[in-house]
Amino acid sequence: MFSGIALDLFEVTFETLDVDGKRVPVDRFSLLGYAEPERAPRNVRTLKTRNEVWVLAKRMCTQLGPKASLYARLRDATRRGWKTLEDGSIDFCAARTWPGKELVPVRREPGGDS
Amino acid sequence: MTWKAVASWAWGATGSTRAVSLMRIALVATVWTRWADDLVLFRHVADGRMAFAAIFYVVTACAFFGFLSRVSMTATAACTLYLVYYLGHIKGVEAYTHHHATLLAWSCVWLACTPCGGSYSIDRWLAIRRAERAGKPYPEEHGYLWGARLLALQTSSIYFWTAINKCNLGFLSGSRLAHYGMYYYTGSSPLDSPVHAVILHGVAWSTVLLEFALAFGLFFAKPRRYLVVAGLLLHGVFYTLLSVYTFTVTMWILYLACFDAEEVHSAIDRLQGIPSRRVPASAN
Repeated sequence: MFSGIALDLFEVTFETLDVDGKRVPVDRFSLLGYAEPERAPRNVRTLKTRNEVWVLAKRMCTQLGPKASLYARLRDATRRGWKTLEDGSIDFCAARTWPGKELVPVRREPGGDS
Repeated sequence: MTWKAVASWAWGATGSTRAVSLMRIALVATVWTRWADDLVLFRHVADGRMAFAAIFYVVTACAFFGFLSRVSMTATAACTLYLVYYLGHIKGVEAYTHHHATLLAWSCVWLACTPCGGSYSIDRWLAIRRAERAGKPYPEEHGYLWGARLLALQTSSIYFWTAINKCNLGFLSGSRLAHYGMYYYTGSSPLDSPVHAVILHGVAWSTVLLEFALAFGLFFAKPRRYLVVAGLLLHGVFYTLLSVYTFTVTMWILYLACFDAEEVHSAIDRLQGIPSRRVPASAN
């Protein structure tokens, strides 16, 4: 019982490059202007699909600027623990698609994030 | 412990009906909490289930008040099985197939196998009135309790199998607890600090150990008094932190079946300031 709960959940951290080319963590909430993370829209706070990660990463790239890089470490919740999906090797700002992954286009609801 | 003693515990069990009668009242109230609002008649004008809904209210009300208790509790159990297996599994009302609903339905089934109207019921009131008119002593609050043993076994097996289900690296590493915490509270940001790791490991292992202890220890008087307190807290925490609906209160009610029926009877006498003549089986 309860073993089927929370399996549609991703753990995600983002990194970018500083002026010296070193990786530094990026807080997605402060970057996108959410002062209180607990009040951020669900698709920023709790990511459940690759599409949501992709859309969020592209929004963050826009905020970071035209020549910025953004890398994601992504893990999927499974019954056996965490399963690594991305190890931070892909620059999401440079990628036009998620390499090796098919993404279903996300339809954005007008006037809201969640 | 011999097979004869086990058989005597299971099939030959007799004792006070107070515990199972309290369970009758509490379980039927829980059944109403889970389903009564869904079955309000106006919701079923179009789907042809208005008659079932009306029967549900009649039989559960009779069971709650203890009128024709064995029949009304059996009918209540039949209604809950219909809700879980026909409407839930066959007709696709997914919420009715959840573990808390299934547990509630089967608890009603096993309770229907007990003399659950022997105390705190209209049936008892009528029996007392008949005895008074006939000038006879009041009937004993006493009956066969093999159905209560099934309730205790169900309670134990829930703990045993849920503990077995958690014996894997995903749970014992604390990862599954992190999933629950993130899913309900913190979102996709990692809970990966050393403090989180210690807490998640500790909670994961202590949950599994407690569930194994509850699976076996509830059958023995000495560990039971401590385990019940720990179990009540465990389910209270589940209810407060997660989304378990009626599961917590159903498990709390089921603990009554794990106690010696005479012990429950004596405790109620003491609460009412009556010196009890009942002797718990464990004292024999």
